[in-house]
Amino acid sequence: MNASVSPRRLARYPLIPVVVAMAVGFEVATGSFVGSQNLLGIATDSATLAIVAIPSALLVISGYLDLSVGSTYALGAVAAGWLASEHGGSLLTCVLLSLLAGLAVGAVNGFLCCVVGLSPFIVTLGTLTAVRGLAQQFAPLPLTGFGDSFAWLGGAKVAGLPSPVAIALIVVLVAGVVLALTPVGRHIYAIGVSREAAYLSGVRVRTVPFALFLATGACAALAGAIKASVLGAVQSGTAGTGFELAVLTAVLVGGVALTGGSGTLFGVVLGVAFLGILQNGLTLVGVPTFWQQVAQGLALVVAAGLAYLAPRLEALAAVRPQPTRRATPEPAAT
Amino acid sequence: MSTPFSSPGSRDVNRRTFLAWTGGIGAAVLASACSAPESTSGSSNKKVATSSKDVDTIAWDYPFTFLPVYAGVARFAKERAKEKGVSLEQTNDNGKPDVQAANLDTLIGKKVPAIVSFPMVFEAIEAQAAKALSAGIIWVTYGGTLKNQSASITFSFEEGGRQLGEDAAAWAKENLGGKGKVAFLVDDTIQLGRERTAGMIDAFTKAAPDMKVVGREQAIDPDTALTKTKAILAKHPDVNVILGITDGAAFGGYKALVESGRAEDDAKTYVGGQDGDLGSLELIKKGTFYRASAALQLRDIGNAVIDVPLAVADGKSDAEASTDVPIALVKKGDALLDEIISQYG
Amino acid sequence: MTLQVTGLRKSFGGVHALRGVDLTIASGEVHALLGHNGAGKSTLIKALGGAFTPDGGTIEVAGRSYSGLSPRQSIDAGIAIIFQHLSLVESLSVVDNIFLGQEHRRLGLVDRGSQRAEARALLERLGATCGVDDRVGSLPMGQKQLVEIAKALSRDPVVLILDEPTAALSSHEIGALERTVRTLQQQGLAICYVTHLLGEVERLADRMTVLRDGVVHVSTSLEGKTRRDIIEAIAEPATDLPERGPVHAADPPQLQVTGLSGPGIGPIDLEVRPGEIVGLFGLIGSGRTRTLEMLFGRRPRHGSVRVGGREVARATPRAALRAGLALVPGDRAGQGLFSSLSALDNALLPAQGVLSRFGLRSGRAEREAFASLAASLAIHPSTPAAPARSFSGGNQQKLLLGRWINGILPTTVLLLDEPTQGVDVRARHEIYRVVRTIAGERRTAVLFASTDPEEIVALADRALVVHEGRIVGELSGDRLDEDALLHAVHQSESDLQEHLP
Repeated sequence: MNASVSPRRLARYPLIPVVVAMAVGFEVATGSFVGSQNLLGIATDSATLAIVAIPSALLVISGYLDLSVGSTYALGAVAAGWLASEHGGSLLTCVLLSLLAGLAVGAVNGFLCCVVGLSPFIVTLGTLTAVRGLAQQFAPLPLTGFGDSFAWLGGAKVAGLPSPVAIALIVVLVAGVVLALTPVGRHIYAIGVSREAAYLSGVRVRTVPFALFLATGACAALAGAIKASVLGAVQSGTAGTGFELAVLTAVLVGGVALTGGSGTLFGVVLGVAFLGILQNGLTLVGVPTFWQQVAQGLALVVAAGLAYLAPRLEALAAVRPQPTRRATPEPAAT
Repeated sequence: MSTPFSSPGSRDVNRRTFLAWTGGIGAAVLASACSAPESTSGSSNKKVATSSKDVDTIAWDYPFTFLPVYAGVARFAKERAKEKGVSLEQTNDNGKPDVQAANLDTLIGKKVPAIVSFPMVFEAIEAQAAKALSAGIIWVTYGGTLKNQSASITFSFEEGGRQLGEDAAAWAKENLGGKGKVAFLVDDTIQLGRERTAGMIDAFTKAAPDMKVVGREQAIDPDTALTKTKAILAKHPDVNVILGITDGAAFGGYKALVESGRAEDDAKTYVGGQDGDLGSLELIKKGTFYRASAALQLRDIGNAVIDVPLAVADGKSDAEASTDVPIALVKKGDALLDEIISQYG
Repeated sequence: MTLQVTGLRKSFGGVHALRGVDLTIASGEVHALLGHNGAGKSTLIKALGGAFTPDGGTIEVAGRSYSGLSPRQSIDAGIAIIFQHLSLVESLSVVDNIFLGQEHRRLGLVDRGSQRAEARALLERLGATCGVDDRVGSLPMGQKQLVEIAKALSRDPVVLILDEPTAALSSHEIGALERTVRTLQQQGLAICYVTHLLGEVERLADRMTVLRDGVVHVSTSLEGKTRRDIIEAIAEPATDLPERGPVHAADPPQLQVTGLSGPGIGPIDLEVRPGEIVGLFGLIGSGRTRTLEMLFGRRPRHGSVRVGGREVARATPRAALRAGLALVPGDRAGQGLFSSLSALDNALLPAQGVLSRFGLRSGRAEREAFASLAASLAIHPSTPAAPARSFSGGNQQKLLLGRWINGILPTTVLLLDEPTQGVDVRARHEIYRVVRTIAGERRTAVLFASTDPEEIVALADRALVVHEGRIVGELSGDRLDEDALLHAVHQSESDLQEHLP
């Protein structure tokens, strides 16, 4: 357990060898995968996914789900882009407006799912459609010409890192502290394992997931704003389409159970890396469009298989380093 | 309070019915969306419409509402409709052929006087066009032609792609001596995309056979194009030419190049796209290496959406009423460039 | 012999539930299986039903020997088990329930005609009065049970096992069930009857087997045996529970409930003084659990609940906990345990906020708190990181108990619902010891609910008898014994029937 890559840890995170194998494979095939430029590019592209996947993972761990993030992303991008291009908004006001839009969507989702008690699948499927319409109604034409202040959000360097990567790291750090080190972190797991038991233990079973819906909405909108800044343009109709599935995929491939109550942020970060490397590598190798799709689908199935095997591998790994941990010998146990 | 929340069991059921709901909600939203602005008078629809007085409503069925070009054309179509005193109804097909078919059935069922439809799959819509005609509805095919139709509004997508490909090839000959690297951002998923792709790639490779093709990636929006181009650049940092199936895609390619450190006006780089999106046109005007766009002329198309069905109502034949809206390659210094930019208001 | 179990062994994570059990039941015999909670009765029945594979021993049914059964094999071998919690689908009809999963088929379609005919014959054989098309959800408990038995009989069993079949029945229904059992006995079934009601043993059984701590303590014919003999056979050696703490009548009540009412409950008035342990005794469905849940705010309520003299205004668990009122629910898996979370999280979840500094959890304070809790509750294993599901039932229950009595939260009133359900004998004694200790030393007021009269007698200072959502009797001191408790519930049962038109 002390070694950073113990057999047990490998068994717990079967994505580690997969990600390493993919990296090695792509490097051998192209000779240009492992280069600081390309790796940094992957990190930058994956940053927006991570920024949304992390709060989404917390939501899934608590037994809920937000499918509306793809549209919230578009709304956040439109809100920031509109202020920047039409009114010359500063970085701060653009980000604030974007966060506000995301919080509003999160509040609607949270109210309907946590307070009223409707199914999060249906509610967020509804907001997925509705919020996309809102974003398109608000900005039917592409927005461009954002000005230098807003461009900083996606284009600056923070401590040597591209700003999207730095923001993603902050999100991971904050979520990690909340999940691992605060009582609320335990409550998130507890609600996911058994809402009833958590309720009877005095946990705020409505407030906690509500707050996670708010966080997910805000982060989705922020990710949209970051991407708008990186691109210097927003298309309300295409921004973030299918993003909710990428988020859900990263969360699930990262080992978070859709049934709630289990999963780690490290796993989700691995899931994001897995998707980013896969996308990058397939393009790098030059796999034709539809074969890329086939490969992506197969890779997901493989990852799902590994996730299925993980607890079994972990059990094996747990037995092997401690062969003497048997209880008192049982007479003729077999 | 007796059950402050749903039991785990019911949540599982909800998850299982998730897929079933996806379609259902979409359909419900669409159904309510297209019945809202209904204001047709019932009596005049029963006979075949023969004069423009009978056509008080035109239904425009455009499936790719998420494309920027849609909003542009829609603006001009609405303006023209107002001028002509007809109301314009719009569908929301969400880019799905089955939703489009259902929406057309609804329109035919309620006997709108005229339908202008952009078929996602041309063969699949033929039967509905026939049904519309026999119900006395004027049917205008948008983006192509059908056997059953009153008239058509066409653009040559293949031609737009070809013009872009040829221009880029000519540029490469002049500035690179015909040798260099090219990457294409394409669309293989819908007919319009395949036409543009074929025109663009065939024309370019024919005219510039020594250019090395280092990428052919699916991308129609800037976001995807940015990611894909970055990956291409990781292996080929010296790509000279990027041609996009849409201006959105080309814009993403342009961004990736700039991000990789390419100067905005680098003389050895050419990016070109199609559609004539405002952001791209402004880059062309500014004098960057975003050099050309095969631009649709939004005002002309918008006008045609209203004018063609009205011409049919006035008794014009298919050949007389049908319009082919030209696609023009616009470059820095063209008068058309400023004209189209001004169309965006 | 129809059923012959030889040397059956099974352990769960180091706890030996069965250690070499023999049980023989002949055709046409009613065999009473007795023993306290945790003696191994449930484990034995589940082994026969194929819920798990035994570690050793054999099960012989009608001449065929098995070292372990799957649920399917168990049914095919001819074993039918009627559990307390019936396996019926309430929304389906009687006939559909009887043939669920084994529909009669004709040309690939369900042959409804022959199903209905057979269902009618089965119900007649059992003396059931319900119709084959009645919806099961609308039937009274006794009829539901007969449908369950009919379902079992449709598979032609040779052994019928009834697990505390009368626990949820009215006295009228109990009489009918006993007649049914005799009929089936005469038809040649081997019947295993699990109960802890001695009257039933006397009236019905030919033989009895008493389990204690996973072994057969006594197995004998009941021919010529008196109730005295039976009680002696079951009685356990006296255990050294801590002395009952003194309860001072002068102390103001720690828990004071007046006019508590809700759907099907109340009005209920009751008081529990500091250091007092009060037992709520009643049959399944009498309203014990609902009463506790209303007190805790899990269900809406009318009336007043005061803790330490202060009104608990809002009916929510959070408000109850803030006032010092805590509940250990009876449905451990569904309402109490976080099965995949660690033992430490399970025991300390509500206390983690108190132990944290500047909003961050203190790992050290939590580990220390868990260690002291594990020591005082004898939690085994005492590893804080092990998931709760890997613990035995008894240790899971101790984790839940520990959630409220860890000394970090100000629990002054503890509500326990079936505190020893599904726990082994040792854990049961330890739980009794812990409850006695916190009542005696911390002066915690304890109100617990149980269907087990022995448990009430063993643990309570005072018992309240619950029937149909109301308190119908109170017993304490020398008057508190099992016979008096059973008499009190069945008395109220017949009182009610007299009032019916």
